[in-house]
Amino acid sequence: MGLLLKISLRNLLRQKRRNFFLGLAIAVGMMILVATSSFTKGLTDVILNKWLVYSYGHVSITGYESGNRQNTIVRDRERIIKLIKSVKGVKEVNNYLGIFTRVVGNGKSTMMALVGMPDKDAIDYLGNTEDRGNAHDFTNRSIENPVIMGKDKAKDLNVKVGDTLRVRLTTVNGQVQSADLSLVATSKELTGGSAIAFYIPIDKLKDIRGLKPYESGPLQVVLNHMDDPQAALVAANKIHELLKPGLAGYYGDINSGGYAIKAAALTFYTNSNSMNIISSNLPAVQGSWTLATNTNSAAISVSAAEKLHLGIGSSITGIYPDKFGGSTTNIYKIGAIFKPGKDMAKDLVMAGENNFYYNYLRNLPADSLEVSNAFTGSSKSILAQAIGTEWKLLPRTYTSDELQKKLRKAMKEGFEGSYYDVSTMYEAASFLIDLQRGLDMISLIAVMILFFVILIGVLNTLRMTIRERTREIGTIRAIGMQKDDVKISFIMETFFLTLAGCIAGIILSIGLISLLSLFTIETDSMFGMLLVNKHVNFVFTPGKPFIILFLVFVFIAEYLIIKYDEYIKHWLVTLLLVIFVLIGFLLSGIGGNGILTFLILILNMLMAIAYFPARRAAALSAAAALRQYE
Amino acid sequence: MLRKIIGILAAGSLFIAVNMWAVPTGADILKRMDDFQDQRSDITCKADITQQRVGQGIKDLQWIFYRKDKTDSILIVETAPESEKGRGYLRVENNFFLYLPNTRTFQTINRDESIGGSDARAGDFEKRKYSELYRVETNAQGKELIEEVKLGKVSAYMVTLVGIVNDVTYPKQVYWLDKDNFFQYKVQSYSLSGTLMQTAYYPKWTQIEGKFLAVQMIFIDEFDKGNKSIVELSAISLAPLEDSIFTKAYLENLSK
Repeated sequence: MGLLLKISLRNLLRQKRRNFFLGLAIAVGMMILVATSSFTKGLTDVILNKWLVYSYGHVSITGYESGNRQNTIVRDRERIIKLIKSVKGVKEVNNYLGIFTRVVGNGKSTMMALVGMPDKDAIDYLGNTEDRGNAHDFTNRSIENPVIMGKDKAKDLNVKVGDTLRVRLTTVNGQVQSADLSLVATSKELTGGSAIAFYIPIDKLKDIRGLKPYESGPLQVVLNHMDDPQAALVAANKIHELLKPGLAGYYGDINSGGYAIKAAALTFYTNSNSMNIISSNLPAVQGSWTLATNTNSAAISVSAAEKLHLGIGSSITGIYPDKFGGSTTNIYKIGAIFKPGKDMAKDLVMAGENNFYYNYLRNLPADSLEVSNAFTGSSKSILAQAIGTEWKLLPRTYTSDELQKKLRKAMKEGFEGSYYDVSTMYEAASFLIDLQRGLDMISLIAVMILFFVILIGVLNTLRMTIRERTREIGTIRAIGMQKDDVKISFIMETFFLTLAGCIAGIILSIGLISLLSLFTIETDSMFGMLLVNKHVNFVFTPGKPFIILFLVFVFIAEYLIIKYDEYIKHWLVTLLLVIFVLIGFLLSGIGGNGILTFLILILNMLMAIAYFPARRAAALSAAAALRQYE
Repeated sequence: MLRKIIGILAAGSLFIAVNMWAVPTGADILKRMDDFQDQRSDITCKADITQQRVGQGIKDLQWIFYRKDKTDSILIVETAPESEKGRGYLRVENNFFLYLPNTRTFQTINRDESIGGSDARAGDFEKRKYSELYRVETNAQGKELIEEVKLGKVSAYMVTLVGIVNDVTYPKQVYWLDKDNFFQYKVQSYSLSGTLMQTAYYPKWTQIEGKFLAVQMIFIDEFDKGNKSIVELSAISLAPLEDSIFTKAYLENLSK
């Protein structure tokens, strides 16, 4: 082996000029490959870890109410955040609040996205980018509704720092709302596509939108720094599992005509299927379940009705402690007295969803075991399908189309409670993911075409070398060198040439990237959104360890096939080499481009290419080779 | 005897006068408004809408409007401008659909969405009782704020309504109601923060088959000044409408 190594290195040095130019071609190819890959990695980084984090999060948890997709609200923010944070890989959970609204300036108006932002994020994101004003006034609570917008939008609206803007929107309850906003700064950063958004402290926007402190808009989950969008799917599926709802209900005092009991109140769905289930499983001994769905009506169990001395048409008052320190009162007229099932509490009130969720959602009850004990039947039982849950969890979907279909269907159901949906950036921002994938694939294909041209050069050079060295091959074969050694010496020669060329290419690419990073780019176009601090973002990564490891295995397998090709049919060797090259190509395409990935991929490709002339050289008989004259 | 008769007549006259000139209570007014709303029936009409937008000039829209009272179903087909011709809206039960003739597809829309790019929202077509949504505003002494005012030549009650439920579109509205017949002549609508958002005028009324209808409506955007919409109804018919009109197939056919 040592001798073969020496022969290979000596042969490389014998034809310095030719090998220098061939190595240079490989180096330039590698440089372009690494620079392009770092550029697309940089774009991916901006898209996945900046754009998506600010606009959608990697995973988003949204609550929908009132059959309205615009009415997004998470009622018990802290509870949901706690659940989300128990999932591995979650870096932070942000409270997103953004509204598309009409903004009126001085005699001009336009539609813009008013985005709520925590003070710290605003300063990190917008601090020191002022064109006019002071971005730090964003945190000044003595200023009424401070906002920051792009300088161009401010110009369009004919406003300057200190002026008042007005917005019109609807609250979470659907009421028309308006607010005066104070422009504290205009930003140079908010240009191009990002100029459509302007920013307000999130607590102020929550007030305007009519959200309570413990409520929020959609929750955006940011995962630990990611370079693989697939991680979002895993996290979303885990969060989805954790968000399974319990029973909707409360436990408190039920009073009527001077009598009082402690009992739980549950809710039931009022669609025809659920009503059939309820009336056949919980027979009404007086009144009817239909009567119990009348406005402000409810049904009560036989035992509770007896204790409260109630009849049909009597009124009851249900008072329960809510989660945030207050107490809530519901008044119901009794429409049905029913016999509860064997797995239900004896004293029980049941209100139709139409008479239940409105107050329940706005005054979430304190946690109580009595509620879950009020119905202990299996969640798969028929009765469970008709008993209301805290929310309805929408099934996971994986594309924008599926998401839209699912939401359309849900909003038509007429459910009075909340729907919760867990989506990832795949559904919410599929166009960005497609853009990122497209960029990766285009760069890989373009550079591979370049390499294909280089490969033809290498193949041609090797054929020339073999032709030139035919007599030499004959000599070394005559003095005892084995066919196999001739083949391996050529392979090793190609391997070292490629390795040196690739290493030189990596060093050159570092220089090129450093040089390109020096340029400051001033642009107002959409391209500006892909820059980081006005510089092109290059990300230099070695590649995924398991992909590198797999490629090393492919390399070893390829080497073993080449070495022991005499035991395998020629066509099968060719087929296997083609397959291995394709596997390497696919792996680097699927697994994310990295420098080491490319290096091993190129070594694999060149080794496979070098095999064919090397095999031809090794196949020459000593006598025939020695007879060869040019 | 004569003194007695005169006394009775005087007392009767006084009673009539007091009742004629007594300001109605808030509950009375809300009931009258609900009654007014309840006199609706099936209706077919043509609506011409002139929209004025700052910086965009004037746009004329034309709709054909069908409403069935019993099922509270609505069908709207746009007939002008040419670019929007054939687009339609259908409300049956709780579902509101938008029909796009170019793609021949139906989309579900929610109550906040605009109808035909106008100021009308899907939710505006919902039938809800005033008395379930509002109460008459009271002063510090608990007296209901109902004033007798002149609106042009018309004697009217000016009454301020405030929402009693959270999901009412405008939490505060001021109505100018004709003293005699309770026509709404003017309505000002306020946002939750108390800003005047819209003033609506209903200057022209007509009576068809014993039912009163506003045939001209003017909506002035007080928030984004300079925007205005004028709606004029014509070719009004109160003839009963078939259920088959309020179907996707009918709308699709009508839009061809």
